[in-house]
Amino acid sequence: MITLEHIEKKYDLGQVKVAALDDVTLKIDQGEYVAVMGPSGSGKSTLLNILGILDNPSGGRYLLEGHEITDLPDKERARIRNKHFGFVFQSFNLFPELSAVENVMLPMSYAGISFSQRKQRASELLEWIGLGDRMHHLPTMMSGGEQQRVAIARALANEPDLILADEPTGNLPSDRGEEILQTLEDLNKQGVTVVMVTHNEMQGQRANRIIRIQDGKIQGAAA
Amino acid sequence: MKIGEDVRMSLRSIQKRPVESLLLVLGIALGIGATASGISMISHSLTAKRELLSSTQYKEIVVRVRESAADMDLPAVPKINEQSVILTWEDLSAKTDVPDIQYAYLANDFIIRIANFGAILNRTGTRNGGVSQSGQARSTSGSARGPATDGTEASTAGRNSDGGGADGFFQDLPTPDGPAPTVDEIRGKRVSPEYFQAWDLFAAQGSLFTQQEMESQAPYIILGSGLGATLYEDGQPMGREILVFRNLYEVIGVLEPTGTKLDELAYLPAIMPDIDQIPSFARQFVGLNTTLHYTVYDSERLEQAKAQLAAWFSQVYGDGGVVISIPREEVEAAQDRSTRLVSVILFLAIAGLLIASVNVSNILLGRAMRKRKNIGILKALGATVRDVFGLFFIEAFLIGVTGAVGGIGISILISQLMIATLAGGTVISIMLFLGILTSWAITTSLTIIPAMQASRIPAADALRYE
Repeated sequence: MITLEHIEKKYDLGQVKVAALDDVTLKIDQGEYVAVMGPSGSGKSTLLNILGILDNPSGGRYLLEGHEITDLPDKERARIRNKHFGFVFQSFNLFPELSAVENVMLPMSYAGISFSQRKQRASELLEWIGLGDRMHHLPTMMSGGEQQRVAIARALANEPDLILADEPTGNLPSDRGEEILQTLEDLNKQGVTVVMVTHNEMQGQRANRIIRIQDGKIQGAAA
Repeated sequence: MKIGEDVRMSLRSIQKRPVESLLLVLGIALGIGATASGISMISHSLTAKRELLSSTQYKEIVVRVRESAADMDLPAVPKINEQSVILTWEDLSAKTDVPDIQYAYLANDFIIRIANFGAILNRTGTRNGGVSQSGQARSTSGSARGPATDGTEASTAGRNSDGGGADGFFQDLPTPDGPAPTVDEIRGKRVSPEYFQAWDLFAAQGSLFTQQEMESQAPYIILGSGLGATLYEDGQPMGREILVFRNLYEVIGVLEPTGTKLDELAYLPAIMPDIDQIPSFARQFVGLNTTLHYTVYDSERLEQAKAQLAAWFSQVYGDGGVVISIPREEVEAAQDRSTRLVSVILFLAIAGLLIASVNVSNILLGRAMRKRKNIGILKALGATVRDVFGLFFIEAFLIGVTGAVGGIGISILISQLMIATLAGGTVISIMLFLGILTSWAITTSLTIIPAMQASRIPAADALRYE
């Protein structure tokens, strides 16, 4: 599904250049559940941003379904993010001005789906994830676990092929974190590819595969 | 993203910071209001100037004897000598030697105080045979007045010149025979015939003075339409008489309405002094306000015509014998000063608008920076640069529109004040609209900057922002 070839990401800090990713080559297949692990500052989030084409690599090639997407224009990259990827963040990143259902509807509006269809699909997703009775609540009126479930529903809005989760349980108590992990595992069982960044070794062990990264380099044979 | 959702998010964002949003709206409203009013004032000033200068008054050259305050410091003897010049209707013939001049006339102001020295009479005079009919052919006999057709004796014949003796005069004076007049005084001008042509005044009833009537000092009066209606509520002023001092004036014409203050004036034949009858030592005491007016075909030719007139009068009265002036020059200078002042006000208003807009832009940029993470989230969800720009622009647009509405209110308020306080000209709605549109465009273009900057923030950088 995804192939990264010799990906580099360097940050120019004036006289010093810092390599966040250094010659990263890896492959992620459809339906995999991959955990990305490594210490703080190792380049996990940078790798996730590159995978989610939120950031441009400084070098190397990115192939999605065999097509190179490294240098696509903004509009095309936005379309791919919208149609193929779903993002789940550590701090949920819901829009506080919008209700749960409006937050879930948001990615669908960029996909050109009609309002009524958006609303119906968002309602179904929230029902599925167990928040049918909180649809019109603002994020500030919800618990962290509920907010993260709304974020997962939002990530699923356009039926993505890949869920990119950046420490999705990092801000949650363990029982709520377990619920989130279970949801991600359920999604993976339904065929959705999941790439999850985590610090937690136990959570990592639940994935099909662990990619360990240190100092911007993949440790061992990632592919 | 759909506009509806953009608008909803923007409105909620505005509501989230009400004080900041209110200040933004207020800044824009004041900037737009001040600029639109400034543009409107410039427009008003220019139209007022155009309207004012299109008046006959400002197509004239005025010739008068030396009597102005500027000459008061002259020694007594030369002053007497200089003021011994008395301009007469014969000086109007200068027109024939200056091709740029279209009309030449005399026009001296007078006031008839009815309450003390006169009466508005119901009886009719004799010039038109006591019949007031529009356009009726007139006698040119002037002061030679026959018997009145209503049977009353033509007791006024020659009364304005010889009176027939003091006893006879008082015995013959008619007494007011109608209701008390509704006016205390009648203001007007003593004019020569071309005055009416120069000012585009036409008789609606009766007719205007002839040259012969003017020269013979016929006791006739012409009324402006408004004055005629005021004095004679029955609408029949023709042939009626007005007694002033010992003179009876017969109404021989009523002018067509002009919609100006001229409608409230009365017109008498200009006094034509016979200069040979006045001893030179007494000329300064004659008290004749001899001012001649020369109207040019084209106001562009005023200077040339003035030079030619100056040459003509130098030949007749010697160098500096008369004062020749162009009223238009003074008005133009005053109008130019006014326009410059308004330009400064407009400059200050535009500067204020720019300062307000830059502040608005900065505040909006600050808002965008605070929402940087939201930009990253939106991009992660599939928003393009254009989508993000649209979202921030709509927020700025809504604030700008609200401010513009406030600005329109301020502009209308100021324009109403202008209409109430400034003379001449009008506040042109289209200029007011253009002013609002221009200043709103300036504000909007400055609020685009933060939206553009926000939309270009890379998604990964935005997501890192906490």
